[in-house]
Amino acid sequence: MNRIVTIFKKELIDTVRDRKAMFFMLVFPMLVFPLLIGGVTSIQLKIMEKEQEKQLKVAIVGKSFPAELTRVFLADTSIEILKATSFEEADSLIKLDSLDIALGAETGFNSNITSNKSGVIHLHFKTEDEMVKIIKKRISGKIEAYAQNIRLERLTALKLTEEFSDPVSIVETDLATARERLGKTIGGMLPYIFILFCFMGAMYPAIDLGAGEKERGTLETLLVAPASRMEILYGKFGVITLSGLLSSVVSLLGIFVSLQFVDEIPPELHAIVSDILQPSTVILIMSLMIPITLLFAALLLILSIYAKSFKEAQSIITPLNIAVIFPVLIGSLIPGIHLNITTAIIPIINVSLACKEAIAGTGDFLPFSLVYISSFLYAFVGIYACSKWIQKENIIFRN
Amino acid sequence: MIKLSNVTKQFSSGRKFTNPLSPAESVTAVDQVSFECQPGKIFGLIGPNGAGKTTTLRMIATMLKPSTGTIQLAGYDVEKSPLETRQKLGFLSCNTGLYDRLTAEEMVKYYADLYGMEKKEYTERKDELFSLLDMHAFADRRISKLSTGMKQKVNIARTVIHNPDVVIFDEPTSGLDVLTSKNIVELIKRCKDEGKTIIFSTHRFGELKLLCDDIAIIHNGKLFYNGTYAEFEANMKEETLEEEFIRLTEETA
Repeated sequence: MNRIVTIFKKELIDTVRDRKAMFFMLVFPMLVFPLLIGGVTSIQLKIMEKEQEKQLKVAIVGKSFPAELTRVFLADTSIEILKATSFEEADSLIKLDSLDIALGAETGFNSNITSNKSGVIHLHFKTEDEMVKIIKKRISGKIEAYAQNIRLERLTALKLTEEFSDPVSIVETDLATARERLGKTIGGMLPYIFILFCFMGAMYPAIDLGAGEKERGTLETLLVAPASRMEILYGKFGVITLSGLLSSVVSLLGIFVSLQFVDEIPPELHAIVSDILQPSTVILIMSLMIPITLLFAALLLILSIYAKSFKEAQSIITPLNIAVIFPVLIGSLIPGIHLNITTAIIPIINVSLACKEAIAGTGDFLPFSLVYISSFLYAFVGIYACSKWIQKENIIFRN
Repeated sequence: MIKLSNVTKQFSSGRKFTNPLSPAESVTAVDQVSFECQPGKIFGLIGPNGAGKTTTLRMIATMLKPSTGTIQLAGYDVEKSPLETRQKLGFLSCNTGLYDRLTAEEMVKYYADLYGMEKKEYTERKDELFSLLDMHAFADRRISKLSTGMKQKVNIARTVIHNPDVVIFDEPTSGLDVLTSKNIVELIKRCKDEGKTIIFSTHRFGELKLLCDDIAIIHNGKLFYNGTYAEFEANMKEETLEEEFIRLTEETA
């Protein structure tokens, strides 16, 4: 036990003094959430505001367009009305980004309206991004208002109320709390990032303490010291696991930092994130990170011990990155996959699903227990495989 | 004392590419090697690259397990009691590296802790070694900031901090300049004076003549000379050690 502590302490000093490892373990995870939450929110808000106020270029095609609606568009100072003789001409301008949207009414529109029939208005636009949708909404909002006026006029002429045309009105009552609704969406993203940091935080020390030791030529002397290979393994394993967990905890701290210092966070989101970050939820999430980090540490150490150099370890570990990201992505971001008895035993996916449930404040006892049992089992298998691996001469002295 | 009895080491070289189901082929790196190294004497192991020197030394140092045969070190069977063997052992090779981010003293202390040394015992031994090797000036400096010569001194201190009975040197001076290798040569001599058992492999014939009491020549994993250096020199058919060595290896090729 003393030797494990000696090795652990030395490896910890070695890792703490490694600036690169510290950057990936602590600085980067700390910055991710403030950058994500602050940066993305403020940029998105600014773009949306800009688009709302943007001077729109709208072309009205043909002569059938109702004069009343034309007046509405002309009254809006943020809309510039251009002339186009045909939709072909307007389309080519839209494709060149010289025009945002083209409007045109079908022949006989006005007579259709006066004879209580339906008139057709065509909208031509190019949906390249979310912003075009916002522009379209502004235009179609005005058309809707115009149509609503006509509807009311028609109903009044027939001495009917609005209820006549809306026989059924739907009143929705969503029983999900704000935490449950947003918990599953935000909750999808958070475990993705936490799990990723467990992996990333463990990766650098794992490469350094395995392949790095071979490359520096220090492994040989360590093997001649009176520490068993298991003691060496546990000492290194402890530091790698601690690094992964620390990374994850630091990224969580980053969320608190974001909440304190980023002003642009919408109040609803702010309230929900604060609600999520209750001590019990945080403890639950972090306890889920323990077995998964143990598994990552075992897998990383296996690959790192196999590699002859730092460079080789990096190239071997890169595919493992994808093998980790993929199941986490499935569990975190794909809707419709829930934690149940089956998904609770699929490695990595189970932890990301359990985190999602923990953040939403839902989840049953049985699947949760299964997640813990199976994850610790996988971690144990990983550590066992690693302990067998480190005993192999052809791996340790691989040439 | 070190005693090797009919030690053989085979490595698996993997399965044939053309037939993955074929049994794994093996290469014999060390073949039925037996010799004895006595306390207070320096035993030199010589041989060309790939002769089996490093494999032999690694088996003695418990890093590799012999396929057959037995090795005794300071009264222990190295295979049965690896931890006890290592407690009695110091190992230094030309490839031995140090932890760049530790200081010289932290490096030596790390090994002292692994050897389970008591604080008082460690402090005394460290002061003695640091004075002997003139290391006090850079004891608190990170290893990455040290010169090659200073690093070599740290390595020496690390090797003998626990005052081992047996010291193994695997081509310790390879790649070092004359001044830096002088530290190693002095260490080997000092170990001999202290009555330790010393085994070392080298390519430098000058060192062989300067240091060795007994020598063994190994080629293609087989030992084809084992005796005192004086006997070897007396029976030489060529004028120089290098020429005699080449003649012998060509004869056995």
